[in-house]
Amino acid sequence: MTRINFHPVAAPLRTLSPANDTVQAGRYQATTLSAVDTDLAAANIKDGITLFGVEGSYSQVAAEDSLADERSAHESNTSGTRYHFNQAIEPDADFDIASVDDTFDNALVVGVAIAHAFCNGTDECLKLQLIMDGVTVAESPFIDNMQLWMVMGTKALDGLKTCICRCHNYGVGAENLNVLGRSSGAAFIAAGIAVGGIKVS
Amino acid sequence: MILTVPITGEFISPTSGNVKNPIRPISFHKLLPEGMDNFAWKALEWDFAKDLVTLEVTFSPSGKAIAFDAEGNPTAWRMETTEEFEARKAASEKAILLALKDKKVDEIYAKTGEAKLIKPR
Repeated sequence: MTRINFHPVAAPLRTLSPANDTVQAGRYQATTLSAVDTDLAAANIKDGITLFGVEGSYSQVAAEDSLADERSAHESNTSGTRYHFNQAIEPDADFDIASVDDTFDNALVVGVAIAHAFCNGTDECLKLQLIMDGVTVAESPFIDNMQLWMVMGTKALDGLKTCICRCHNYGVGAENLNVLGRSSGAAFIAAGIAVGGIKVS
Repeated sequence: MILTVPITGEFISPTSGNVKNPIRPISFHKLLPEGMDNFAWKALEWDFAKDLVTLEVTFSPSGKAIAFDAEGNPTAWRMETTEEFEARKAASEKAILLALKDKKVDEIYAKTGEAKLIKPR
């Protein structure tokens, strides 16, 4: 009499891979998922979320990055009791009123450019601009009367960058920008630029 | 008002512009009738893949010089009344929409006479 022996075939031994989320049929040795993929850690999971029993603790924190400001260094003159400087700007040309260099750490930066100014001519052609790292992020209306002109913008900046308070002449002829200071006492020019960054880490 | 317009200028790196030819919206105010081109703008969102920027355009009362000193420099200005300002703002917004509506990007570059964005190779 012939005896028939049955030998069970063992299922293949498999290992989990951190490269994908596929769990194939088969046998696995006891392990933990955090051992398979060390990225499964509390610090990598958002606070309030639990993945496979790992409670997340990661949260983003906003912090001040850098602050800088610069007042216009252009020399002022007196005209009567008025302190000012007067700058001719050629057509389609720029005049940099003030600039600031600062180092940022991958921050969202807010910039403000201001000038207490008027245009000497009657043509509407001069505009105040805010340049951040070579990008014009904001522009004023035409400087058509004497007031405090201000433009504000934002840009993500990383590393040493230059931001500029600039006046551009869109006209077809040269035009004079007149930037005022105080009416008496020590002369200074009421124009400048300020930047401040917020970084998230 | 919110607008999306083409960009001009020159990149010197993937994120930095040339301060002598900054990245900026094309000067679309050149397309507008005189008196309707006086507005401020600030960039809301840049799309450097499509060479476009979305802007917020804002208006404020303008002034006209009405008195001058002996050297011809203005010393006094007359500001727009509220009614004048609102009328100019409405006319300007309409003119901007008409100037840009249904226009192809290449057409806008051609009409403003401005170059396309220069990117690093």
